[in-house]
Amino acid sequence: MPPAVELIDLWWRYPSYGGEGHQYALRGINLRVDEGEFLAIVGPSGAGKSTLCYAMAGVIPHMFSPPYGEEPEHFRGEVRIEGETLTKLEMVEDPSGARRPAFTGRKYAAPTAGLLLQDPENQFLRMDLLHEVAFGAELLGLPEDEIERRVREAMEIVGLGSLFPIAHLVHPSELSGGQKQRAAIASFLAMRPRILILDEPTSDLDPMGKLEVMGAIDRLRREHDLTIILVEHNPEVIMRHADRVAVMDNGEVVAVGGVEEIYSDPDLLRGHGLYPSDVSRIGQEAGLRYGGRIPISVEEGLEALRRERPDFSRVEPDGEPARGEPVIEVEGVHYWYEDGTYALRGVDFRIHDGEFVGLIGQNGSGKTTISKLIAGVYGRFKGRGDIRVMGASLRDRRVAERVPLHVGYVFQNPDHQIFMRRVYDEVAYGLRNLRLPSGEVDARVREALERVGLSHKVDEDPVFLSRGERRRLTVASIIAMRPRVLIVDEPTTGQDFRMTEDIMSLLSQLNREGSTVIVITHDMSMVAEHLRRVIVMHFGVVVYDGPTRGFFSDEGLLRSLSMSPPMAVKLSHAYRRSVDPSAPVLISVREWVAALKGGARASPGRPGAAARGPAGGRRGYGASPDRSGYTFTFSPCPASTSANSSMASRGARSTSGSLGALYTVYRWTSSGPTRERASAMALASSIP
Amino acid sequence: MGAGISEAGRRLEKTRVRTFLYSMRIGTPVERLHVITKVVLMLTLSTLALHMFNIPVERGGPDLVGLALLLLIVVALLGAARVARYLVTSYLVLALPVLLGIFVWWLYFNRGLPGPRMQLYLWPGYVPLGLSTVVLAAALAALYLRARSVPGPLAAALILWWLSLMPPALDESPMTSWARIPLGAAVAVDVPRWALVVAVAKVLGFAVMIYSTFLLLLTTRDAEVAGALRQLGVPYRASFYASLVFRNLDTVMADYTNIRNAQVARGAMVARRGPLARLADLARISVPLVASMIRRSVEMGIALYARGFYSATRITEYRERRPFTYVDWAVVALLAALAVFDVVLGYRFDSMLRLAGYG
Repeated sequence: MPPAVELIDLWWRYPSYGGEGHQYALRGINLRVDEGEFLAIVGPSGAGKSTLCYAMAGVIPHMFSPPYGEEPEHFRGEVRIEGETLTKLEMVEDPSGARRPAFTGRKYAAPTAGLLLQDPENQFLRMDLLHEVAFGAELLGLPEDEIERRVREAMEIVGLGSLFPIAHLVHPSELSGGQKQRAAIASFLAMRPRILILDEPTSDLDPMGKLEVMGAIDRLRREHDLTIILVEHNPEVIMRHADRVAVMDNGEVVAVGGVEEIYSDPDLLRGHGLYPSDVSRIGQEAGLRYGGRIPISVEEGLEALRRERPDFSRVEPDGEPARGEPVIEVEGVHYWYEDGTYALRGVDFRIHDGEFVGLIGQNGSGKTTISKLIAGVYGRFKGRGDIRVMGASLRDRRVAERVPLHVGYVFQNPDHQIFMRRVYDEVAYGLRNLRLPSGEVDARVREALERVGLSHKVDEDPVFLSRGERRRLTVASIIAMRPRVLIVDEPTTGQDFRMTEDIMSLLSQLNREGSTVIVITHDMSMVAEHLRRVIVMHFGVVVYDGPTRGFFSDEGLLRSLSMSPPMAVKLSHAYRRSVDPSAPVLISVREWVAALKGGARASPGRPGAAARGPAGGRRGYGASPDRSGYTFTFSPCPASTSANSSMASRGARSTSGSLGALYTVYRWTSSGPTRERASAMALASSIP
Repeated sequence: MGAGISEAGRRLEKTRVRTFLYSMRIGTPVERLHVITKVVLMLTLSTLALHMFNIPVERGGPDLVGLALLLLIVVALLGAARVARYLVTSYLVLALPVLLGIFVWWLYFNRGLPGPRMQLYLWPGYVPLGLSTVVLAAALAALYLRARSVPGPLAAALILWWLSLMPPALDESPMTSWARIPLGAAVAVDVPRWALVVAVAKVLGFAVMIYSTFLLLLTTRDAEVAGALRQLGVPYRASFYASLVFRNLDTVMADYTNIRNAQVARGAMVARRGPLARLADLARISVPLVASMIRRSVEMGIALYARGFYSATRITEYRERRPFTYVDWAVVALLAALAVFDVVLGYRFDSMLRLAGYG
């Protein structure tokens, strides 16, 4: 039986339309994917993963045609699909009888293979769900009743079957990112492909979307025996689904092997800027063994731990929370968008000077809305309730206009916030808006670029920076304005391990130097490793506000919010369930290593920041610091409380009215106990 | 198909469907209309309005009753589609000051005879540079210097008061005065007889044009356009590209909002800056916006390639076309009758008004 996909000594270089030519993006790739196999491809940014997917789908070279006559300088080798040549460069005779290079083969991988890309917005090509799913089948020229049958079936497979009766009325904007990706998968399924190539299909999605899409892929694998090629960063996803893993770096496949073989070698992964799993990091650093190798999954980690005696007293307890003055106060905030969307339904929280806080929740939970309101992006606050920044209400137009001076907002996509054609001007843009003297502008620009390590690129056009550098540039352009509070939206989305570490160490450093940092994120590992406090939003209300450990301790709450905790947390829950119920919940690799080795002292969070008072001599609206008896009395939530959060994730997503579960709600207040239990129904009483 | 939509919509509790602008209620008579019918409706009503407010004096002047009737039809349809609320709860409410501006313009500055000809009527006499003008200018300047802004309503009120001080050139008016509004002992605003009729007619006519366009945008789904183009004989690929343009507009608008928000987050609104700086900001948006559009179009091209769009030889149309129902034919017939009465037969709806001596 021929392999599903076969790449033979494949080389590819993108054509350049000016300046120096590009380097080879693929360098002598030899890869074979067998029928029915699930191959995961991992690699750092720029490794050539997407290019490889394009080559397997025939997009390369046909959508990026090399100049006439220069084909051999751009493409070499052969791509086969089910034993048939998809693309090959051969010498052929043209009509004049001369021999010249030309691409031969079937050219199109459709309908045998489908290709799904990362950004759901660019996958959705029609204006309603029905025609989006039917699109591929329409192009095959199938009879109408056959299309209808296939569309219905494909929507069932990806879990969108309930929408079929109204699919022709569903506009793309009414679908979540996960639903859009599933619709694109369904569109391919209606074409009855035998191979699906998925290029980071979940990296732009929220936790719920990731679960939905991976659930659909898993079903395809189990019930329909498709060959699946998945580009993915998350080791847990790969370990759960894949048969083999190919590691790419710099256009080459540097390693191919079984999941166990690859993930039990954290040095190999880290050497190529990739995420090893939490468990394999714990295994390596604490010397755990499972079957003669490092454990890689929670189950293997648990087995290895049974032979160990972790000393949990070595884990440093959570420190005191920040005691600085409240810099942001959100009180009873209700907010509607112009189109009637009810985004916030009574939000309350306070952020104190010097805190490093995570704001988490599914898409549509209201976390970005409240953040943009705080940062003055939406102008004067016109909703119900009040938002105060350093004591001044955003209901006042003048305050709202000036709030960007005090609260900096770094947007998720760096490409959406770089307007200027020179790195220097990009950072100076905000400062010039403040009408600072040119000397001051110059000093601040150079200082900010120095801080983010871009001072050597001061005259570059931002277009030529790497994605990681562009992300750092956007942070520089905000910190140059010296805001007291920094809000960073999804700093790690779409970034590889190296870039994530880079950006998080920068934010931690800024926090140590005095900035209050709020991170909006779906990255639970990052939350567990770096943040001491999380505010969790769901359907426009805050359902949890408290220590990160408390949040990860409540399995029921996590389940009800469709959030998957990091593997270190899962390992801890598994350990408590089957080995030692009295063990505390450990949330990070560092804590596990500290408990197992005792060498390094784990430090969840940054105790040093807690003791710092309000930063002296800085701009402000004149609010006085609040130091009145702030006490913090957190105790971990017992696992039993988790059982009462029984909200079914799908029901909760479609209608908030089904919220009937009890949540354990933590509030950080300046006095009194910090933990309360409240009914989510009561919290969300205003939900229609 | 229309009934099917509403049935399915009710069954799954989906009551509204997204349109070009906002959304409309599923199952209303307007929702059941074909997009071609709605386009014909908008064009016919607008043409009739244009015709009715441009009727010259010798043929009776503007047909106010006819215009009011057209506006009534449009407002009734907006109400029936349950979209009227968007006109007052969104930026569409800006249409009202525009109409007021048209009214003031035609009442005060353009005193020509009814008809298609428009003239700018400036005061032929003099601008009263008296004490009141000096006081007004000084007050406005002081206010601006102190607060760096002048509240809009206050400025409007002061300017209107100042305009009222200017003596109306009654002698220049082609008709005698229709009304005199005394504003003070020696000052009065005179409204020439035709000016009010023309101003009202223009407001009604432009309201018909504006709101019938809103009706089309508020009650038409972008998804319907590709099918309608196919029904008009446009090839599949061309109609698909047209619908892809709408899909792109959707993403471009989202990108634009994100980029503009990023500018605001970096103090674009902090300093009161001149119009040139604001224009420069708008121009700067084009850098990331165009980059984003290029990236999206490349990825959409890849998505099309992956689905076999470029290799397809025989394409099936699956539920693309919406049938033209008897309701559509009835609406088109009604519009045709209106056009015949008004344009061909020259029938006027304001005979009652003319009988009262205003025609």
